[in-house]
Amino acid sequence: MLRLMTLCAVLCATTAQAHSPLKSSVPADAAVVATVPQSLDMTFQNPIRLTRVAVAVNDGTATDLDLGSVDGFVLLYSLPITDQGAGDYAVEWRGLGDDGHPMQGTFRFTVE
Amino acid sequence: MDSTLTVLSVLTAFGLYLTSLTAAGMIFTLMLHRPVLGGLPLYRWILWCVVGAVVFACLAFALTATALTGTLSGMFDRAMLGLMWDTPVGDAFRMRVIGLVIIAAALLISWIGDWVAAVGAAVVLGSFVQVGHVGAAAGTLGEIVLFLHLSTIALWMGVLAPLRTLAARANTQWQAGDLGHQFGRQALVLLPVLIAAGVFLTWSILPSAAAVWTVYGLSLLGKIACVAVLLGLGALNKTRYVPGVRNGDATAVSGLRSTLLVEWVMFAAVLLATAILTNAVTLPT
Repeated sequence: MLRLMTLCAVLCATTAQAHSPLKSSVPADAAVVATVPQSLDMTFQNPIRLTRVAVAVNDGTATDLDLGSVDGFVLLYSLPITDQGAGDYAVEWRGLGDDGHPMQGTFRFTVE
Repeated sequence: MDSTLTVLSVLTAFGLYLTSLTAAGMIFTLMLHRPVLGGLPLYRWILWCVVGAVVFACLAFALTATALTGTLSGMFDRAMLGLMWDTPVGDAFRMRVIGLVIIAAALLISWIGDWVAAVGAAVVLGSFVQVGHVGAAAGTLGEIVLFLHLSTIALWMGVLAPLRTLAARANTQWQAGDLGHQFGRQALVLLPVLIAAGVFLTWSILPSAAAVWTVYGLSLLGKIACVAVLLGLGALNKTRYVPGVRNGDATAVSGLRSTLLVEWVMFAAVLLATAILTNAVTLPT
């Protein structure tokens, strides 16, 4: 039973990514940029309160972005990002929708 | 880690649904069938369910916070818990615990009437309407239909343990026959409500026919298949076993007890599917 549920959880994680409430981001998912952007901009379909945003470069250890200035449920976020040089940046975000639903998603971009 | 937390959330939600609906259903059974329930420790059963529901409600609330951090330590993160407290998840949690406390108080304090426990049960069932996709998809009508749906399920679940226990003892089998007969008559009203509400909710939630083939849709189909088995077993009890029990047929008693056990397992499967739908599967868009 536990194996079945774990399988289901894995399947569902895939489904959740396919229906992310993230409307757009800058840099966009799968984008290739010349330099590391100063900030990570995220636009959501509905108001959300971000609770964790972690960035991992070249599949290394993820670093949490500072969410100290985040307050309330909003549609737009612009979070300062640390320059870690060229490479593949993986962003994982988590948050709470104003309807009480926890949400999460991932996107990646490459810095040449 | 995410998979482990998801499995924990599903199991906790399953425990919450099972204990809350059984407690509410047994209270409704008590209100509707008191004369034929003599000798059953129903108050004790309900109180155990209430204790379990309080534990599962607290655990479910804390586990929701883990989804916000991605770590188990989120359960104890005051900032995350405080954040959730001010959303519909917090409203539902408070409502649920208040309802459960009302039930416990009504059963433990002799001068409080059982009707107060029924109010507590309604508050508990109402708490499940506060969050979820139905409100967003179908508005107030959807919430009312969901409440009716939950009430009919609770009523059915609540009668199973008393009926099976009464049927097990030779000196209370006449009570089992009467209880089964009375419930069978009520089911003629309850089942159409249950089925109509289920169809309406499914139609409201699924965005298209194609969504049936998503993980969400397939989980929903599994749930509907279990309900179909339940309806068949209910019909078997009403037309064959309950009349047999009332006529003193020992084979019918054995058959009734077996089908009631299978019904219980089917309800557990339905609640597990619901826990998966509400905690692990994203609604297709």
